[in-house]
Amino acid sequence: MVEDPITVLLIDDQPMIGEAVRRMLLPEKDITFHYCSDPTKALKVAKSCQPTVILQDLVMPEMEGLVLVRFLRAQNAPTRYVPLIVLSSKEEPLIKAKAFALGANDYIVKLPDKAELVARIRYHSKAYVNLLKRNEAEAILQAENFRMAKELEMLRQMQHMILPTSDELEAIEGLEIAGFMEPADEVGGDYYDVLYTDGVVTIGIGDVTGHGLESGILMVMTQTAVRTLKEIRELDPVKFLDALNRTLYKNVRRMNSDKSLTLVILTYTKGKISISGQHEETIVVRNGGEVERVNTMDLGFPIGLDEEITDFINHTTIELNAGDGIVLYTDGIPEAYNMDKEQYGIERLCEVASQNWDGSVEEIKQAIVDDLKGFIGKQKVFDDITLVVLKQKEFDFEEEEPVEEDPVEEEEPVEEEEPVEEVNRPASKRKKFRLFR
Amino acid sequence: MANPEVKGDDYQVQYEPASSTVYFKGDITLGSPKEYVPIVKLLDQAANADPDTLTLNVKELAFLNSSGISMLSKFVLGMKKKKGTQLVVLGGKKVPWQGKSLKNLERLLPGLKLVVE
Repeated sequence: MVEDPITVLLIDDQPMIGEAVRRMLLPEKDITFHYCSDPTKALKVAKSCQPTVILQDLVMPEMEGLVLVRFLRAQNAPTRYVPLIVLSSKEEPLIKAKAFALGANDYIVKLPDKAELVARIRYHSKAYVNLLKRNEAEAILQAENFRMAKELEMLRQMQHMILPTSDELEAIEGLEIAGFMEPADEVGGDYYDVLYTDGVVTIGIGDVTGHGLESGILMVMTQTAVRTLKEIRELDPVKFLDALNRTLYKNVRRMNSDKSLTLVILTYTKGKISISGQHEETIVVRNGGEVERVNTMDLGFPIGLDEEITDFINHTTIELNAGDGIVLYTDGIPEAYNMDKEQYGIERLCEVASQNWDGSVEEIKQAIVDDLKGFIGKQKVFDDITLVVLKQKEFDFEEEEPVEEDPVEEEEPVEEEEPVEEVNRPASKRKKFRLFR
Repeated sequence: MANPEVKGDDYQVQYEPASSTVYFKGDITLGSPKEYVPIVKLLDQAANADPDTLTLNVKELAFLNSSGISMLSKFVLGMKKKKGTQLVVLGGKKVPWQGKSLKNLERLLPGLKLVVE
């Protein structure tokens, strides 16, 4: 192994000593020798020659030796960590002790034996060079950590940016919607979106297993896939979820990942909301606070787990009167732990939603988040938390011809094209809502 | 020799070769699929013994998080290839997560026998 080069700086007012040491070190090809006779210039010389070891005389006319030691060890001195061997003409325990206390690394009575001097120089220089290397490696590692933290932060921000904006939500006719998302780590695996075109509102909420980078990327893929299906106006829930499942299944396989996700898609048009996909229970809260829980286990299957899921996809339809609404969430809420290792639970979520149902969706959302945070207290947040609250606004009753109730819509909740059909016959629905109130 | 097992603060997974049964107990809330690897290995060990019937007893498994359910689903999917083994899952009606999630296992492996009592 090639040894690292050694640079020695001797500070001594006697040129004779300088010459003696120079001669001792001359045969050592890897040692470069610098000599400074003026202790007041020591720091300046050290700055330019970058020694890996300093030899310093203790008795000099220009400056007291121990003062120089103090200078060389000063907070901002370039020589602060360079090994310092003090040379003195006599063996003096008290002075030795003082020199060590000020930061000297070694003490030699001059003139030492050549072999000993070279050995000590080599020993101290090596330790110093190793320290420099460690510091450099640490700095690189720190820079790398910093870069990675920055990149994670960027992905976190991108994930946040892909969420629906409050302007978008406000532009939706018929529904008041508020959303909340907080990842457990920098990057989460939760997903929610609200997309609105042609009077059809598509709401998606899902949870990729785990969290972190891989889950975060799957979350973004899910968002894109759902948006694509929305843009091509796929309203058949079977075709919608089947295409989505195959897309993500194949990507997950290509990534050699073992992740999957739960996902529920809600399609809303004029007071009717169709639910498909398997996720946590959908909570329906009626005007006044009465709660209905919709189990979605029979409406779908985990996405990305198996290639073929069409047999398991189904949908159910809920009617919303003014003031009725839905609470969607990921398991980070019911499965949040408090300090006593108890789970928050869906019952408490329903209760808080019900008790606060008089408020705006924003207020209801905040009440749930506050209650949950109060519950978690100082406990660690283990999972991503997502919450979407939506509420049917007052219907704007236009004067339209009263239409007979269509019996078909009553008995066919599983009809696939339903959301589209509803667009074309709002009048009867509106009539019905009026009757309900 | 003691039965092979994987243990954590709040859970225990034990493989009993004599009865070809894997017992799950407690709350399993491991953070990532990686942390589930020891349990997967235990399940694979049980499956690789090629028993006529392999029983997963989750009656006393009070909670399994989504990563855990996903792990179990993958294992059940893998059992599709093992035609010689009848997989039985023993669940408890009173355990909320099971009522929902065990049904998915049945769907993944139509031959699976699900007993919830």
